Amino acid sequence: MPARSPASGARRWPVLLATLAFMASAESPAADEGPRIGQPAPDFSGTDSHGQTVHLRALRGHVVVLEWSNHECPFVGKQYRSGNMQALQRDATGHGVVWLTILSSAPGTQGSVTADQANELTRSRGAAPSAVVLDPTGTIGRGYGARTTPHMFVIDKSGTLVYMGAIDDRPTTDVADIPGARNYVRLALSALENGTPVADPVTRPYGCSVKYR
Amino acid sequence: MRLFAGACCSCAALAITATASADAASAAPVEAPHVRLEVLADHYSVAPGEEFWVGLVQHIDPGWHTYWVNPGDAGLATRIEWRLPDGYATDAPQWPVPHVFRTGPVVTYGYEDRAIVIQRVHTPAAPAAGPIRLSADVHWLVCREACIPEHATVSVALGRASTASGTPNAAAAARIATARAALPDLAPWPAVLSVRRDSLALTLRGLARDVPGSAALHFVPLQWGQVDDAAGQTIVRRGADATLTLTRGNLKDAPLRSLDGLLLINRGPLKTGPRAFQVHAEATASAATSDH
Repeated sequence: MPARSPASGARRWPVLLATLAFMASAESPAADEGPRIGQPAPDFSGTDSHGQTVHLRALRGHVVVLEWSNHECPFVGKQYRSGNMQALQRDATGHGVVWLTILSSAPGTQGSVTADQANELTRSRGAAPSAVVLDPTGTIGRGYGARTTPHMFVIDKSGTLVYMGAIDDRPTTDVADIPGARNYVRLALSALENGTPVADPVTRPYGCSVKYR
Repeated sequence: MRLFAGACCSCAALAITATASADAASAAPVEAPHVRLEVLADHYSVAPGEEFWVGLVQHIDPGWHTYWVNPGDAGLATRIEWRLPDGYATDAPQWPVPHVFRTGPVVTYGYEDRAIVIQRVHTPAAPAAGPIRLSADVHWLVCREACIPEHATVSVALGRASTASGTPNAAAAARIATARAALPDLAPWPAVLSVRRDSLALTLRGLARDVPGSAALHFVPLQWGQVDDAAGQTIVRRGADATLTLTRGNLKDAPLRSLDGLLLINRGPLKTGPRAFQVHAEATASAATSDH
């Protein structure tokens, strides 16, 4: 595995990834119809902010969280100014979850950043994703029907989609709404850990629109 | 809706006549960075038990937009909280027909330029003394490429008429009447809904008889998750009926018993904007076909 210093708060890639040189050609059954609870999450491959390839299928065996983001969106700002998203990322990755922050803003649009800028944002905000995936063509976003920032997806260890929707149940930009909010991602991760069903597998995501090309 | 606790004691001695100044029923608009909010009332004064209408107008900066009650894929609906004197009550806000905004795969519903939302207000039979002050705290999200939450509070004061009915404000009444006339009609065509795994078939009986084949139809759902807002909609005419096929939304694996929304009918380049109809359809086991 190439030697590099992890960004502050980011987990190193599982060694598993470095040994995988193939791109899976098999398509998940749900690929054509988009994400569906209880079905394999749409597969994708992308490049992260350190130039590493990220391939969802290769993450089988890990719970995976997908977080669509745009640092200039006030709904994302609410989660990061409060420290809420960073704390959730730390808790999750501390339990072996792979957390992917995905940026699907097209070049020149709000939220579009270079790899270096993405890494600087991770550092300056104390964020703790496993990786930040750059998706300027919007291919991964469209594959998931990602419509808002934030828009959250939780995938279990077998690669099945178990949650999609909002980060929490308070669709506002007010940080005062964080403490009392029901955080759907946190609840989904707890359910997976306890082996119980996810109570709210589909919720309405809220936020700014993803700035596709 | 919060009730205003306590009348203005110092105003109780004032005699408000039916010829109150023109400012009384149309208070000065309030500027937020991208939206100027104006409040209207169709009366200068009202009598006990009389109904009147209020309107909130969003004057939206060019290129920016606010959102409908169902904002669609992103955004937030505008929220209105009225503060009214004791005993006064508002009916639900009546929103104008939304515009469909499409940016790539993201579809939202809302307003640009100007939107007026109107509500009926009920005056109590024995209103408290003093002027009638109505205040609205309005919160909205306004977006262009960036999205900005904004809010404003607007107020309007009405006089109390001692006669059987109060004095109308003709200018405000005309604006409110225009808005009311533009509200969606109830669809005159019975609607039938057939629910499949990934799609919905919405049949409107008799529509093909009333609407030319050249008209474009589009269904805008009232609730999130039932219909994929960005997916295309196909229309098939069979006899007197028209059936729209809608792609199901993110709640596709939940049972669907009924569907509510607006059917937008765009009759072509000579008309400005679509005509809209409110549709309510109950799900049946299979779509009924026309017997013509």
